[in-house]
Amino acid sequence: MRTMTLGAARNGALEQAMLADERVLLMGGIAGRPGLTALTVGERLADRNIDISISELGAVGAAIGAAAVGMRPVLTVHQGTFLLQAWPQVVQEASKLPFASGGAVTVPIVIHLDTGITGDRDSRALSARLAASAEGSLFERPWPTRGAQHSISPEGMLWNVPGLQIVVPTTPADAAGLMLSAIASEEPTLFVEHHDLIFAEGPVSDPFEPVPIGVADVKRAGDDVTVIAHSIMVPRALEAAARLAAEHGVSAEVIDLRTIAPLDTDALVASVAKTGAVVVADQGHRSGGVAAGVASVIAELAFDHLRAPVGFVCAPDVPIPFSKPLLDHVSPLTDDVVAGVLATLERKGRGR
Amino acid sequence: MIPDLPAAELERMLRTIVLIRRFEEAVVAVGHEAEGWYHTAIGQEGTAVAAALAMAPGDYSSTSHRNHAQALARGVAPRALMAEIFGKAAGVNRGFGGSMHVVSPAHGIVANSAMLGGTAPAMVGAALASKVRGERAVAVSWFGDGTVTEGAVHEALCLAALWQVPVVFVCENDRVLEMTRDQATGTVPAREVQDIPAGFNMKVRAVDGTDIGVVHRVLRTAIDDARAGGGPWFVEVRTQAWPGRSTDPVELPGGRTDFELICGLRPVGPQDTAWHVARDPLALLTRELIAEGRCTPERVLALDAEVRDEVDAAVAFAREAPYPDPQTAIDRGRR
Repeated sequence: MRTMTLGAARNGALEQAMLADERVLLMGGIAGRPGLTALTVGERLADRNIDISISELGAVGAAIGAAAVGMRPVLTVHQGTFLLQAWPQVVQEASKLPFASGGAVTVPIVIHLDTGITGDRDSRALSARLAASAEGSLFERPWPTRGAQHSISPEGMLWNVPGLQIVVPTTPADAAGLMLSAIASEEPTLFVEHHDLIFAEGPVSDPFEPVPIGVADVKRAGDDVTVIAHSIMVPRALEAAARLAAEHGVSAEVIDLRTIAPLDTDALVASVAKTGAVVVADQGHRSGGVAAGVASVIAELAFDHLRAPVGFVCAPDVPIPFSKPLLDHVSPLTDDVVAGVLATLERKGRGR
Repeated sequence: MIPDLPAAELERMLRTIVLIRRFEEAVVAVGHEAEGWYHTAIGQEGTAVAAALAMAPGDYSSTSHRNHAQALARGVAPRALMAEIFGKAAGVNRGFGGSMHVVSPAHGIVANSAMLGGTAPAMVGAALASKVRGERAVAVSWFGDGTVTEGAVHEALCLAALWQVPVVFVCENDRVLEMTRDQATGTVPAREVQDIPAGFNMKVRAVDGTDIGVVHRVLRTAIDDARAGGGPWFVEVRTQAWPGRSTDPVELPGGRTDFELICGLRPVGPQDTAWHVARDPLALLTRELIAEGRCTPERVLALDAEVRDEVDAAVAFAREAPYPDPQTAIDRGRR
């Protein structure tokens, strides 16, 4: 076991895959210069790193074409919000070509996205902790508040496009393992990172080992309530669970989805069967996103286990504001998870 | 001009053009039974066949909306294509795609899209793969002039020029833009379609699409040069807008192609449209071959009879073929 950051583990797994398989083509990455935020590999792989200009739409389309003729492109659009510039290629081509061809063509691409709300209160605390150690360019640090267009959590939108896999790692081991599995998969896969998680440290194996797509992970076991989270809301839920245990005697189970599509419904139902109460924590918006989708699964498959309505800790249905007080008001924080769990447990205590 | 091909290939070219014509006429006649959308390529058969003859077996291509011609030209079986148009399990894409999504990697057709310009970047990517792997494969990207206003085409041109990959963009200009020039949509500020790729510093040619021999010569030059490392090409093929080509309802003014008229075996009558008499690229090629002694009217009629049998068999096959098992939709087409 080694210890490294999520960014370093993800890049290490990418390099491991490129060295093992000549079909793996990096598009929009960096070769020969250290970095955590960008997809970065060693100088010896420079000839398999393609400059994609500032043409997200064209580059994603080119990755699709390269994949259709046997390559396994891994493409990054740097800030994940730029994927929206390539939306028609993701929604209309990558997801549809394998299906509409009747399975004659596969599109094994991986698109790496650096996403999420940054600069909220929890994010600023992280920045303060990392300030002493963070080095390098502006892009290698936690970001401050970035305003409405850059603070995107696209996984909910992507989930409504059948034919895409969506992985959302939160630990270095999961990031490395899911990168390996995404590259090996025949399906077009969105590799969605939250920017603040890139700096998270943790143990990883040597060499990196795959983590299966479609398998959730219980990051903390508990009996009273299930917190279903993904991405940045996983560490926030874990911190909330620690506080709930210490300050309120509450035993919260925290499930990290790790993969949104396909969703590990069995893991969710099994946990709810044990706890009888659910809070869904999602930095995306309340309506039509991941939280709503997870809640619909609970309502359909775990209704008889529920002793309280599903609780939501999400961003409200407004664009993400810039000013810090506004941002802290709408961004789902650790404090909001604590409050959400206590509210749900109060309902559970009253019975239904 | 007569395409610069050996006698056997020249006859094969004519036969494939006639096959596509009869196939498309059959689609117009029976397509309503399929209750699905399609677009025919009547009048553009020669460009598809010329490109297919200029391509090598390992070359990649997309197809355009008028894709039946491009698929048949590269060897997709008429019965499999007709069955796909009918949504049948025996279709080239098992009924999952329909006419607008025909893809057949076995024939080098690796991407198609019903979104205008949707696959232009993908063909750049296929060419990129060819270059990275040190192959000699060329990728051919098909679209019409109504697509050159799409951003995807501009990004594809940009990346093709940046990467210097072996891709040939073939724009079949049937003057959709010209016809809509006075309307709020569909217009392009460029004077000519070919002026747009010229700005990306790539090799550009415009060619008269009614002269199949010239189309073949230019496409062969472009594909050979791209294969040799000459970088991307853009070929604008100026074609005719065949009046029966609109979607639903598709009509054939003047009726089906009459090879007796084309071969001069019967006089021009009042039912014959000017297109049939004077502008149809198939008619122009056939008459040129006969005039130059490269083919006879009898041979043309015999080829046509052969082809009609093949198309009739394809229609019968598509009608009788079973639909896919509904559950295959949930399995998402995985084999």
